[in-house]
Amino acid sequence: MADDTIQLDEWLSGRGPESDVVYCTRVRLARNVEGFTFSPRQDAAEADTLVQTVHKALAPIARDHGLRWLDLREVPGLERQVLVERHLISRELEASDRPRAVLVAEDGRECLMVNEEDHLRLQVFRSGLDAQSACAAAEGFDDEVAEVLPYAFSSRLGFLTSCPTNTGTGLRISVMVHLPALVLTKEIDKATMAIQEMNMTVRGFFGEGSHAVGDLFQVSNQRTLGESEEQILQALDRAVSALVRWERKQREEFRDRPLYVEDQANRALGVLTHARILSSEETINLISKLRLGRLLDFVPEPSLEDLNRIFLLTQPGHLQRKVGRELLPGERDRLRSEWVRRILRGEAGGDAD
Amino acid sequence: MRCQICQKNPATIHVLDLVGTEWVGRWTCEDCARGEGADGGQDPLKVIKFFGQILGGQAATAPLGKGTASGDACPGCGMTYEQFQQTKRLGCPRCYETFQVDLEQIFMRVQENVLHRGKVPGRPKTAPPTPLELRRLHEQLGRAVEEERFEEAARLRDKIQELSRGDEG
Repeated sequence: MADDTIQLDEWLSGRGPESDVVYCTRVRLARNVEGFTFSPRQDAAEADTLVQTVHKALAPIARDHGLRWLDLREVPGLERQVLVERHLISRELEASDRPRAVLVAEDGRECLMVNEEDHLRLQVFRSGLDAQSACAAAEGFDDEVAEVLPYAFSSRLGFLTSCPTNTGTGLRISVMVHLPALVLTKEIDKATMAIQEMNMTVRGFFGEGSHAVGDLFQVSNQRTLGESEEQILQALDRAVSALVRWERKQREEFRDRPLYVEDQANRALGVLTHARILSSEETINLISKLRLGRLLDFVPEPSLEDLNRIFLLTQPGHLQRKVGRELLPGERDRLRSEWVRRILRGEAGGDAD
Repeated sequence: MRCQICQKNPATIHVLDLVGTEWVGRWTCEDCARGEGADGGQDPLKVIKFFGQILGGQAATAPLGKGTASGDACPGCGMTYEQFQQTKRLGCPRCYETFQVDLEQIFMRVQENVLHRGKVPGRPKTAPPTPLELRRLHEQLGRAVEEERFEEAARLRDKIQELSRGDEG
């Protein structure tokens, strides 16, 4: 049934290099258009002019790239929530009340936020650890935009951004990693500190620090000024590659003493298969345990794609869109368990490939 | 830098006095700032600023001069350094010149560098209408409609349309 399919965006497609540890790589470039006040200081009239100027200037690029223009003032709340959960817009842009928009690719591989904290926030997503290709795509996209809009740029300080933590390259590379073995063996704090020494920031993908829900973390470069894009990219690649090796080494140790991880994975499968109430946090934690068991071949099913589909439906916006209306938290938890069972029975697959 | 009053303690506070129509600034230690009445005791026009709070970092020791937080507003957008300290967001590209010295300290702390070594963008092949011009016209149009000067409004609307069309060809 077409209605039941759950399409996975690029960031959750589960392909790409090192995808046993790395979910996805996101590259973001912060840019501002010359001649305008920065977004947080604009009045409504200027914000409106900026959005219109950008809309018109980028129309040809949007056509070439197959990007859809969404004026966020006209997008209903539930759809905006889904865009947040797809990582195509930030929570700040969703909740802001100034004129604002986003250009989005249907496959979720690229987008451009208009009038977030900066006038333009170009984003490119790639499955797995693929900063090289994501950066190349983002820089290409950026070059095209620079042909039609003049950027606020200084030869001394680089791209001028509203917050000094983005000045210079305006480049932030973020990698979403799954580190269940480092958490389980309590090596995570050591690993986090080592990464921070390499001038990278590590934080929980949901929540903070070592209490990261579902053992999901985000690693990103701290600095944007004084290093070239290539240097930032290589430093981040080095840091994440080290983290991937560390996590794999810890996972391998479970092969010699599989009982605990095998037990946890099967319990997780049991709960996901039979529970009638599932909160998002519980679901994300269960997915983590089951995913580790799957990757070590301690459980034969479900597929990693189906786990990612469940992951998507842990998010309230996606779940509510399935039924086309807003739900109370209790209703969501009940419906979530229904959909999880449906996915596990193979009734909600994506495209046939 | 030492306190400019006692010449002993490290200066952590910038005291501003209104002398005639000019703000005169001095770097002082906390004790001397209090002695100066900067806590609001004697002179209500005296202002103190605690630079130790810039983005949550340590005390700043910037010399007075171009781009220090002398209370001047940015000529581009009217933002003051105090406002920036509150919002942590600059107002416009010109703020980078206005607050240059203070920003360099922030860059040294959070970026450990003050020079860009990355990409230099190309310039647009076709220039869009200057946004400031369009914005000014939009504002004038708004006022004209509000004040029911409809002939003027129609003229402004045509001008905006003409300018907006101009960059399509």
